[in-house]
Amino acid sequence: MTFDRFLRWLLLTTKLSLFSALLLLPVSLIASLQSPSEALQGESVLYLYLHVPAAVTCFLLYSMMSVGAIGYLIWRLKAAYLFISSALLPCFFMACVTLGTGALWGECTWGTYWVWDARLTSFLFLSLFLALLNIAQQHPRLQQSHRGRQIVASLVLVGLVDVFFVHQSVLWFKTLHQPPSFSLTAPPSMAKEFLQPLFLSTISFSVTAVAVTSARLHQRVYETLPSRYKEAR
Amino acid sequence: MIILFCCYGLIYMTLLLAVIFALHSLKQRGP
Repeated sequence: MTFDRFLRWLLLTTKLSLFSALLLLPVSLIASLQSPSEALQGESVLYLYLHVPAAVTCFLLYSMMSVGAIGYLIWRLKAAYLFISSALLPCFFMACVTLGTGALWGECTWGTYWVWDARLTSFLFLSLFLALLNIAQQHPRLQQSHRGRQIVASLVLVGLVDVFFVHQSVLWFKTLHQPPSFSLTAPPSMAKEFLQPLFLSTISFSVTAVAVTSARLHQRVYETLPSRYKEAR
Repeated sequence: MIILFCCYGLIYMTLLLAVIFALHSLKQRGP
């Protein structure tokens, strides 16, 4: 049965990613804490290994939700919508971690927790948008009707405009937030000692977020199964 | 420094707990 195969594949992926996360999290924690202090920032450079991985994971989950939204709007895949509703909370959590660690890091390096510059403001807007969308999609009238699910999926695609704006804000405007340290065309402007723990933390945060999202998706798919189907399994 | 380590503790603990709870709920649901 195709659906049965999908559920088995989802369970296998979830288990694999959860065990990978269990392995990767302590490794990345040790690598981050063993990283050397930076000449100008001192120990506060350790915020880098929380702030950047959380931001990257937030954007990764948002990109995956956008693919899910397209899947639901074009092919009406119920699993694609269930993926959106599963990913919203981990994505919002990562946005909160990005904002929180960014503020604390900002206080150490800029001398202020917050400035209303384009990057920070647009990211705050994205976090609020994720919070509201997460609350709204739990409403039964949005969850149970095709029209409601269409609205949620469309809103996810509308939010992509802000994600693009967050990315471009440091290039288009004069901001206190630094421009990106990584690009596809130039080598990274960061020493190897900092790159390795950053890479490890980014991988571990992403794997953890995808694993938790996958587990939430499995739960939602399982809940939608008819009881006679569950008994037959 | 204390705030920094509290941040690390809080975030990593939340992530680890999320993974452990997810594994636990998978086990309860069965195959």
